[in-house]
Amino acid sequence: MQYLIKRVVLTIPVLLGVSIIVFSIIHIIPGDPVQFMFSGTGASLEQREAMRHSLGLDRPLPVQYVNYVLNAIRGDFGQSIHFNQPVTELILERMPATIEFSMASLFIALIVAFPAGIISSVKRNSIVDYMVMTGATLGISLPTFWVGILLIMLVAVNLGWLPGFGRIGYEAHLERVTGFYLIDSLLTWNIPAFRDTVAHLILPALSLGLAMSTFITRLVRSSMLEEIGKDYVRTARAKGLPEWTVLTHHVLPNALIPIITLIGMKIGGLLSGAVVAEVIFAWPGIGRLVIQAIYSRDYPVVQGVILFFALIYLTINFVTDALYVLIDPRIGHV
Amino acid sequence: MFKIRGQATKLTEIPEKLPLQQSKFKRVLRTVLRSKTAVFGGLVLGLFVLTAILAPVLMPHDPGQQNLKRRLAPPIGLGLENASIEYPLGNDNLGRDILSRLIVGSRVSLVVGVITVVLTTLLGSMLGAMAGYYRGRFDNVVMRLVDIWMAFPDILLAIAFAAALGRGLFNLIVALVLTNWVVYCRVVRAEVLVLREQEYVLAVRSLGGSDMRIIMRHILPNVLSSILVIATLQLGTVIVTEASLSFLGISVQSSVPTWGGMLADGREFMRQAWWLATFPGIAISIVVLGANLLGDGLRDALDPRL
Repeated sequence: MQYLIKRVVLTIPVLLGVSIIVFSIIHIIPGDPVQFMFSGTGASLEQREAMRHSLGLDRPLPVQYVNYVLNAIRGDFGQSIHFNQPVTELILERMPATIEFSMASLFIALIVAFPAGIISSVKRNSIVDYMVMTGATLGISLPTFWVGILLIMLVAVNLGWLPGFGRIGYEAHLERVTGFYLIDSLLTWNIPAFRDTVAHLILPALSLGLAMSTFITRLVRSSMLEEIGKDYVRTARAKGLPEWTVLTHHVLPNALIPIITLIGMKIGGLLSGAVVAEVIFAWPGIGRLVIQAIYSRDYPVVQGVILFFALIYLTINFVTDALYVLIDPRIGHV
Repeated sequence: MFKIRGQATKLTEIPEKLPLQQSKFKRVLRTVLRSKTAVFGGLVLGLFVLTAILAPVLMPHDPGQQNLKRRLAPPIGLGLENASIEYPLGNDNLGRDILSRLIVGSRVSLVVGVITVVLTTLLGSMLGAMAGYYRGRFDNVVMRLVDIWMAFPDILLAIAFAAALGRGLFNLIVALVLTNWVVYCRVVRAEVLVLREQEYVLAVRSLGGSDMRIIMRHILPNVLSSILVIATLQLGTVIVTEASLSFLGISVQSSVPTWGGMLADGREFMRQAWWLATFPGIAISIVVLGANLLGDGLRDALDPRL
């Protein structure tokens, strides 16, 4: 518990630093940010001044920063210029889409990576091992957004098997309950909408999930190999336990510790991967929102999304650390 | 003169320092060369660098020249209509030669990749080395900065910086350097923390060697192998990030052909002309694969612990 409290306290300066960086994004724009936001729109001087005032840019920098932090603590990330809506509202509206997408990708990554990594480690230096490792090396080099485009071209455009864009078809009518379409469709027992949501999820999740699986496969393999060589495994085998039991009851639980930590750390990467993937698949999530905001120079949204992602990332890191302590209580006593 | 195993050697001919340095270099080179994948990676990267340097000579057409009669013309070898040996990879939506654009597009990837990696290496390694060496308050400040930086998803930070700074090669490189320095800083700091306690460092310090001299002459050379491995692997990451930013249209000016930009253009025409989005993707993947394979090979040869 003490360890976790210490961990929370240590996060505070990081949060402050994060807020300074996010705050300064609008200030590193060369020249006048309001001029930049309105360039080519023909906005009048009064409109510009009003925007300057509403963004608080007419106040001294330290005051602006303190206001920004105080508002952020209250969950107020400012007002979107383009959408004319509070940034927090925009983010919360789109958050379920991004989480659903990321979780589906993680699911695919895990169901591919665990069997591949385990087989590869058990059959070390065999043809299967070489194939898995070659696949992982090749896969790690393919840019996610290109894989996404290829999947759309092949599966959606040419074969027409699955939809390549959006989150749900226009013809599917789904009542919004939680914002997570898979859950909503089950809650309202709308099976056609559920099927449609799954169909829309497959390609985006495959493009991001396969990229992540290459990393996890390597991780599972090396972690398993390290454990397989240890004395307790030899003892378990000497007891006459079947190899399957040795693997699932002895090796895997121990190998899981570093795997969980690193997967936790990689979830942040998954979210950032989702940014580009969402643009490709026209997925209405936070990633697409931030890119739209950049195109329309809607800086309060850009700042809000980045701060939001950083907060999620820090929370995931914290949860991973907490899980780590639960799995291996020795850590908490260090 | 005396003979050793039939070879005549003069005592005075034996250099003082060279054999040790040479043997380490040779050992590493031998290990890297023994790995077929690392050699392949090195060759791919070499070819990429050569292509980028010799682009003006290699490209068969002007990459900006439009030939509307050949709009979306297919590549050769597929038996498709309108394919021409003059344009082996086909033409894009404005009839421009895809091969020439790919060749010239390698320049942005190379320039951005190499300059970013060099600058991040310098910045990250220096900060890491100083943090590890001086420890105390400076280390604390640098490590908190690292923690803060680590809280941002990589590409999002690059996107934010690139978008705020505006388009252009210089701004793009600044954005990528600001995003990537952390990796080097953490690794170098961790290694320097161990090295600074080594006896040879204590010896130099007791002889009156200045801190800068100790860091530059005695500590950094020992961290060089790790830096080299990370830099090679980072080259691939930076090239993919640059391509992602170009794809999103927040990299260099749109008039400059980039692989990411070509992919974005191709995406609009994937129904009619799959080759537009396919070839730039293959180019990015091959170069990144080359960097990854060479990085893996170097890691095995230089620092198996990484």
